[in-house]
Amino acid sequence: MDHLFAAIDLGSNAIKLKIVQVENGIMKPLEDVSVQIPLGDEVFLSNTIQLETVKEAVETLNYFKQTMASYGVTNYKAVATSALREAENSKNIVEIIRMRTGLEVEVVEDTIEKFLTYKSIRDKIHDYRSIRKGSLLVEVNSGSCDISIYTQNKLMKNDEIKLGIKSLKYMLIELEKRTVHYPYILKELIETRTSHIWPNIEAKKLTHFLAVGGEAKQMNELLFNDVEEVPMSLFKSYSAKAMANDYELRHKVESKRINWYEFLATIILYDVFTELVDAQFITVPNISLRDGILAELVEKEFSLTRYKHFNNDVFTLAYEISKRYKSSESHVKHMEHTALILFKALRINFQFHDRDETLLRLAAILHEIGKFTRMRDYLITTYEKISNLDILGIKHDESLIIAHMCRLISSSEHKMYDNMISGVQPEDQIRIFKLASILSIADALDKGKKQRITVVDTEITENNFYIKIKRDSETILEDWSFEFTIDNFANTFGIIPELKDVDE
Amino acid sequence: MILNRELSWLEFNRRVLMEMEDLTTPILERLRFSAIFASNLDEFFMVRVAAIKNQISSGYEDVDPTGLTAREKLELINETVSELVDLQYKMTMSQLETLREDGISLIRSAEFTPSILAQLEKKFSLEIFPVLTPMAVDFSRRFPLIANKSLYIGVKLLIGLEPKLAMVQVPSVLERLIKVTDCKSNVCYVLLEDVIETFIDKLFLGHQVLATCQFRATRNGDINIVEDEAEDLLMVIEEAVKLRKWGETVRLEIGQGEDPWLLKVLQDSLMVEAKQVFKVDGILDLTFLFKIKAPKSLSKLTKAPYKPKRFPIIDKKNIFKTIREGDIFLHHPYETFDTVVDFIKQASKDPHVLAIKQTLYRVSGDSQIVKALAEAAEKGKQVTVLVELRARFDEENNINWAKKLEQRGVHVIYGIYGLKTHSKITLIVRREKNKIRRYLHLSTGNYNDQTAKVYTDMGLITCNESFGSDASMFFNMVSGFVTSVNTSIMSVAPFTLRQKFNDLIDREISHAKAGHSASIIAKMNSLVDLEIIERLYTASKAGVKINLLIRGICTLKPGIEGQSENITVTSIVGEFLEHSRIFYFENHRKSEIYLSSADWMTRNLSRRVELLFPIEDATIAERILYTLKLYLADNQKSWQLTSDGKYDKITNSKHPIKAQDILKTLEYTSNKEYINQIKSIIESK
Repeated sequence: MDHLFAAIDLGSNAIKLKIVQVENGIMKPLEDVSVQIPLGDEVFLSNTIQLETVKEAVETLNYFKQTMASYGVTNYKAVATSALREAENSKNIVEIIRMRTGLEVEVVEDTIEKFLTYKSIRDKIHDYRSIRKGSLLVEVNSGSCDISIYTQNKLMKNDEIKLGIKSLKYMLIELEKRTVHYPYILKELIETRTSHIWPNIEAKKLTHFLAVGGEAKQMNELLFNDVEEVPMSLFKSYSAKAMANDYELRHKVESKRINWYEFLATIILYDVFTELVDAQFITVPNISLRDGILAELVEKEFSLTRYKHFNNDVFTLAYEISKRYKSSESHVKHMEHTALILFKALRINFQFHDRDETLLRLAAILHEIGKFTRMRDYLITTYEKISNLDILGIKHDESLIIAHMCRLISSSEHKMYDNMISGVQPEDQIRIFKLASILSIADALDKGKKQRITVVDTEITENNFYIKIKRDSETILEDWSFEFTIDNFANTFGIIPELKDVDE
Repeated sequence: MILNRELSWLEFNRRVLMEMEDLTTPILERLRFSAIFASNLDEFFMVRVAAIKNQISSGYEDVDPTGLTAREKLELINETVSELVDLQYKMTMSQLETLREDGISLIRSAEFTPSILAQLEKKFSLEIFPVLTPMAVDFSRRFPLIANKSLYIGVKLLIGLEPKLAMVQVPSVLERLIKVTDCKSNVCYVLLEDVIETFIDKLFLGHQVLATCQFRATRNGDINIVEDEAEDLLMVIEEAVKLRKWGETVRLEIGQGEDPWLLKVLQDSLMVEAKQVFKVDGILDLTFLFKIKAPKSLSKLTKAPYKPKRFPIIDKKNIFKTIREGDIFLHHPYETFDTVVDFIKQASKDPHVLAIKQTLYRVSGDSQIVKALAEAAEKGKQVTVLVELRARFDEENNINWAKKLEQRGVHVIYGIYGLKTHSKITLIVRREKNKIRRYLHLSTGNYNDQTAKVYTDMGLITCNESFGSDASMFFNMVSGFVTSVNTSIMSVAPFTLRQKFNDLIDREISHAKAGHSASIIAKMNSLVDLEIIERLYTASKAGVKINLLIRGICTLKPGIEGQSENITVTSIVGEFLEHSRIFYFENHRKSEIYLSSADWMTRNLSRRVELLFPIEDATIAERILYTLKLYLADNQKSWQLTSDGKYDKITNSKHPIKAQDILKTLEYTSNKEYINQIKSIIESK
């Protein structure tokens, strides 16, 4: 079993490497290196990364490779984030890196980046349980502002607001030409743009505030000596100074070559959001994408369960979405439960993976969200909504798989597909049909949304898949619906599903 | 309120010279101090005097912190140098006479007997003549290159009716001391330059030699590298080393029997001001004194070679096991440097070792460590070596090592842009039962097994995880990829070291202000950094007791009422060159001891990569503290700095304590035993 793991993060401003060794289940860092290479700047200016910069990145990655070799690390994961996500030549760069360094780099989506970063809270904050009981997490980025709410040990909300430092900076520069009170005008603007989410946050009575991301770290290093917990009163005194355009503070900021307007935008954003919680401190956790990647590598190697709450955040968020669109909670839960039983029964024979289970559960949770806007053919609307949904921890390709699965619940939609799903990788085609067949049965068995059928056991024979059930009452609607699912299931799995009643 | 740096250095060299007076030391060892003095002075001219001359020639007229202009400084230097060189020659000539009485003679030309002349003539014809290249100088030819620090014989030739200059270099490929027989002593030496001068006619057949004189030029040796333009630092430094030969002449030494015409022509040709011409009444370049060897029959004239102790006892087959049991502390040369060499050798052979990283500053000619590193690389280990090419006057040597190591598969790096890497650190990464463990050696001295026999340095070998983590961070920084360090235990110059020292001094100041006992003992080679000096003055004023053990330059003025009355400065100059940098802070009953590669010099704190590391093992820390106390108790080799910049020799014949001799002879089997013995020696005083 491997005890050494490495994570490489090709970020917008720096390329970073972290190597850990696991001792008694605890990750102990051996290396944590950050090399400044502004990949993001070039993308912002020209949508591409210049070859000179790629050369620099390759040199750094070769150094990282050498460092990994000096510890004998073979289990690693290298990911690239926004700069490569947005660069037009990202595929070429990934290939150049592979050819020149032998390192395989995966360009990860924003939702995965956040999911992994937040997952590292488990290892990086000693009292992470109290954080999960009630906190507001705000990540200020160059292009957006990410708001998450942890309450009752669950991630209940994760929303992105299009208020990024770069655009706010230009607003401040413009406003300064009109009034000396320009910070107050920006604050008012931010308040207006975010006020719709305030009641929901305030209602949760959150007691912790987490400031995450590079801007928060920079502010912490500059003003608060990089402590993990900044007293709220101290933060407020600095935000008041910033709002008043305090000369000394501005000098301090600019002497460190930090853009004053970006700094001001950051502090105003945090000032607005800290008003919504009853926290004594601002926690600036030392969490990172690298730590999240390492957590995932270690979790996989040692089959750990300690991240389960963070992994389950995906489902709680999906439930929140489902609730927002007024899905029937009891139906969704029952369907998820039934689908899981069927999935587990088929898992070994049909070589399903953990990720298939996640996608199936998410499809069960979200399959009704189209109903909110359109009752007729709601699965098509569900499909459209899910296709455009950003779910923390789920890649866009996977969202599409979930969307197709939901659409295929309906046997009539199934016929429309004609065995080919457009826009989906070939290896995912059959995967979607299989998972959708399971989902169809689970949906059919609660067609009346009364949870009258409970699956108690299953049995697979050469030709059949027996679903052993108990019925509460008359289940004509469910039986009838079930019949519509049989052909698709049989065509996909090669065995015929059949309901079998079990005696009391 | 500080002392002049250059004059302070000259005072140090005076203390070196005064070692010749110690009659308890065998005569050949005393003469070695004259050679050290000469060699030190050469370097002083090449670097410090050259810098001052540059200031003068560039028209820089500002005064330094001691209120002197460059010109005034140069005058004071010349005065002091003349005085010191006079003293050196007086003492050396007198001791050479004593040596003659003891059976070893140096025979000059005037004393050559016919028998000796016959031996020398044969030697000249067969061995010397073929390697000599006489050079004539006239208007049609460029004045030949006069190599730095090389001996020459200037010749006034009569060609036609005009005197002409010719010269011949005394070849450095030949031994300067030539043994002759049939003389009155057990051993007789003749100087190579005397032989050449005697037979000079043979070089200029057909011309009349009107006069000859021996001379030697010292040139500006500071290499200015424009790193901005350095694509390949290795190549640039190779070029710069070549150019050193052409540096401005900063000193011209002329031997006996000079002819006024010859002197003027040489002075003009080398463009040397009269003030920079030093007439020497004796032999030029006394570094030859290093080479005089006593035969077995006269062994009393020299010291017996010192055999360092093998302490602590380490597992010869598995040093890593010993380190895991506890930190290993080494005090060289009293404790053998072989432990460090073995550590690296074992690492190079150990199949569990994955990587070795090391900084090399000055390496010896036949370094076991370099061999081990190359072997490790050949065995497939990841070996990274930072070779500091810019170690002054060792550049050529370092270039050679760098190339050799690269050829053997070692990843050689050349340090950080604009900063010399002066720290001494080795990191070994070893895989042990599914666990990576990092082993470290940290030292105050270089990885040079030759100087480790004569320099006093301290080192620590540890596998403490925090040290390992800091070391990894450090190597990432020196690799040039990372521009800052965020170490937890060690402090790194030029990033955090200055601040750390400031904080440590400030902490003592606050203890003193709170009415607690507060003290600092700091041992180093030089103290010149103004910011630190100011802080020490503030500490002294606050009541912090400060004992400084500074071997070389110290520009702090001790013992001034209201400024530095709580500061003492002691310099120990003895058989071994004091080189360790140790820093003790009382810290109100929670004392801390640190070792470092850095002196309290601005260059160390701001322009070099240096390390400071704490001693965490309480017994080792106590041992180091008692070693410092022993140094402070020394009353045989100690000099006390007075507020006027002069040094008074401390003497106590009733209870003599000679720290270096005590450490040489002390027998112990544990650090505890060491502490107890030193304690009783100090207390008996």
